[in-house]
Amino acid sequence: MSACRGGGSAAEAEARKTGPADEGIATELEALRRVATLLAGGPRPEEVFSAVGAEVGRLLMVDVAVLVRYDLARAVTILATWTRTGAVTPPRVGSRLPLGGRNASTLIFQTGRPARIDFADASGPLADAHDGQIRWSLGVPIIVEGRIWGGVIVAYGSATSMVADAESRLAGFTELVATAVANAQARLELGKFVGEQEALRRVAMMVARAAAPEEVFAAIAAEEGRLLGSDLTVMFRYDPDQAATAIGAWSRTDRPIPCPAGTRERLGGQNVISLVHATGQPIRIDDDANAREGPAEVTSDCGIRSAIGAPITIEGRLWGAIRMEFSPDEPPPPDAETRLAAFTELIATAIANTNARAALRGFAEEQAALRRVATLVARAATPEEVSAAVAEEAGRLLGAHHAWMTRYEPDGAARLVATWSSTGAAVPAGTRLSPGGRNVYTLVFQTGRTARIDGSPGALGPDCEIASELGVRAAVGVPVSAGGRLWGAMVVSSTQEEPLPAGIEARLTGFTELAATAIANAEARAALAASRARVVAASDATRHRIERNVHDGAQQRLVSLALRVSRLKTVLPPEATELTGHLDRAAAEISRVLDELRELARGLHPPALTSGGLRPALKTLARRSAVPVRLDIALDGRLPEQVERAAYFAVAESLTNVAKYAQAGVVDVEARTDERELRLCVRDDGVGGADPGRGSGLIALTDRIEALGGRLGLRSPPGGGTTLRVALPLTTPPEPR
Amino acid sequence: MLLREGLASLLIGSSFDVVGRAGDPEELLALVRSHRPDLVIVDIRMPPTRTTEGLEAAQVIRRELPETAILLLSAHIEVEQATELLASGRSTGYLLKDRISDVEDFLATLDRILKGAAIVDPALVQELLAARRVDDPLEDLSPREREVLTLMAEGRSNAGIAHQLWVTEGTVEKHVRSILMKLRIPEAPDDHRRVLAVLAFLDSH
Repeated sequence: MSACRGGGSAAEAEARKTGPADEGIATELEALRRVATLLAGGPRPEEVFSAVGAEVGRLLMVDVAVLVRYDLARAVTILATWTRTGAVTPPRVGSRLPLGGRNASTLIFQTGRPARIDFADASGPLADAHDGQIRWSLGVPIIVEGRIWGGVIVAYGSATSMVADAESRLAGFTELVATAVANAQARLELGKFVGEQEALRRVAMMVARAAAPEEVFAAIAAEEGRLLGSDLTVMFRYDPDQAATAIGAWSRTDRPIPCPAGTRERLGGQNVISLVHATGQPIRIDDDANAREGPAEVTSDCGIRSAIGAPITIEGRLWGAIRMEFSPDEPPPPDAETRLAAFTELIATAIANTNARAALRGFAEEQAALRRVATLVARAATPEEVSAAVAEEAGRLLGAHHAWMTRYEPDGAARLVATWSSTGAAVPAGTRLSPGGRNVYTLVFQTGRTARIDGSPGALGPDCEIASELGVRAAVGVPVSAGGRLWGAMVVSSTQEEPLPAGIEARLTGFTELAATAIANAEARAALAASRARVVAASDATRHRIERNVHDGAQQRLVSLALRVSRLKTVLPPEATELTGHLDRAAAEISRVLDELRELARGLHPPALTSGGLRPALKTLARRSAVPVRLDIALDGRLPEQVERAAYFAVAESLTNVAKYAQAGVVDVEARTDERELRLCVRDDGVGGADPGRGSGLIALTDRIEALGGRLGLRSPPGGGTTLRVALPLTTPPEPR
Repeated sequence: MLLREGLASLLIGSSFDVVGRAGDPEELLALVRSHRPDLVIVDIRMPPTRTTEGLEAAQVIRRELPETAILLLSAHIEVEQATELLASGRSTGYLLKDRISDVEDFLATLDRILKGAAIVDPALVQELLAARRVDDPLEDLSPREREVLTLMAEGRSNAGIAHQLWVTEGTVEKHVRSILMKLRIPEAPDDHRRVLAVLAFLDSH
């Protein structure tokens, strides 16, 4: 091994070649010892680098010595430099230069071996940096844990000063550097590991206590930002429409965050968020010109030069990204994007949990909301009640600002059946939305399918003035079909620029199907009630007609006949006793027929009901009851004819049943009205145990009462008497629609 | 129509003078106002609705010509209609149409009405008396008293009841007093008010 002295002149170069070998070895060992001593103190790698640079420079009498670090992005970062004379300008410490071309750094990186370059054939950005000042350069790799970590590059201004075995002599130093780096790296890794673990633990704890997602996202931005020393860290979620929404942001300074949570940025151009979206890979942009090229970045405002980004992948899908921006004074560490990506991956797991939890909670809430509506439907609530519930539950659950249940008119106009608003700007039910125009309810009417309009100031259509007044900008409409035809539409809308969440249509459908069921049920019920009412009315009309015919026809004729028979007797000679006897029997027979006819007519249609109303009719019933009746009647004048008739038949049927089955001592009959309904109660003190399905009488009665929108309840515990309760609305039931 | 002609024929044959026949309330009122008959026989069911037009016409006649005797014929009997009519005054009858066929009885009834009696169809009285009651006050009555009460309700005078039951009028008076006391029905100044009081009692118990 030759001894050398540092120097740039020809004389010094000569001295390097001819120096005593022992002295050279001693010098070299001394230099190695100094570096090793330094290493033992556990210095920062930067100190080691500058010590190594200085020792190597002096020992090998180079003009420039440089320590470089390779990173994944095929570039080197200058870690330390040493110059002997200052005649050659070394690259700036901390600068980052791309690999490529023919130069020592690039060759070392490509081959993993020492490289020697004559600058006559050198090329590439690293060579260009020393244009004209360098003749030869020599590089030796620094291998840390089997991987190329970096290199020591030395350079000479003249070809003559080149040392023959410089490579092997350098190698001794690079091994020390490698040791220092490995140690430092181990310490650093440990520090990072601890920091990351703590950050992760904090995030995980937030997730575990089911913190709101926005809180978790803000915490993640802060933790990652602190870990990597960024100035501004923003977490984004990618939207389906080539845009990203900031969901959490952190700034090291007190400066206002230029893109707080909720900010939306469109994708495109050479910027971190767009590039991560395009590649799904971590990205690093050092060039501030590039960083500012696309619309997504706002770096210039903060004087931020460098940015890194890493994807957030959840369940195999690119979900979002983290962007970190760094000030020119503190550029990101060389492996920052790799660390960011690794940490982000851990974070993604936490987010996935948060997502799953939120989804689960959302699902549970949705199920609860649907269950509440379904209960209403099961209770046979009116379509108006169900619509109101659907509007509120769906609106609240889906985070809409307005939720309307509309019903179509034949011309396509939409009548608001029920409305709900989170803003308090309620639109009254009954409002009519004009037909036509570009709006979701018209689209649903025209296509019979779901419709969506996003991000339009007139999302509910230019013709929908109400929507414009409300400032609706996004709307979704879902058809409501009942009985196989389009009945109406559920319309939810938002006043925010951003579109309503994807999939909202499917979630709405769960609600609209329930509403449709309620509507179909109500229509079927109304149709059934109307049909029953028609049957009852037709039957009543027939009975009334027959009763009149009996009274005014058959009865009159029979009375006339009886009169003639009776008078016939008066013209017979007194001795015609046999004939007189025949006539008497005929008269008696006619009289019995008349009695029977009268009873028949009364059963068909009680005359007392027509002439005097319910009170005298019930009194007649009570008088004729086989079981004593206590009447308690508190009626306010005459009631609707159908109500009186239904009440009469209810009491008549009950008294008949009491006489037949109850073995009762007394029956209490109560009839009273309030402003809304007539309530009847027939209660006996008999044996009870009556079967509600017994006999056609009660079934016919149920039909009659339900046809009027009334209710009938029978309670008959064994041994506890029988109580029939009937409530009949005093208003006529609504016509089926 | 058929019945009206049969009835008219019966009355003419029984030395009544039939001064007019009407098919609706207006016609009836016009005839009554012009002829001022002693007795009007009205079917409760008259046009246009064939429900209670006859009763209403009878009330008008009672107000305008209180001396006119009125017999209301009905296809069925209702205590409300009976009391409503009877409350308007004496010389009143409320009978089932069927009663016409028992000619002798019917003509006798007409006579009694013309003489001022208030007459209620026996079927109605029977229904009132037969009604099952809780704590029935009628249970306190003797069988004889029940008979007397029935006849009172039908509008018989004490003399009429005595004749019917083959007892002296004094006996009837005794029964009547006992009945009124037991049922706590106030004494009435005349027969027709007595009928009303008895009907009201029976209807409300």
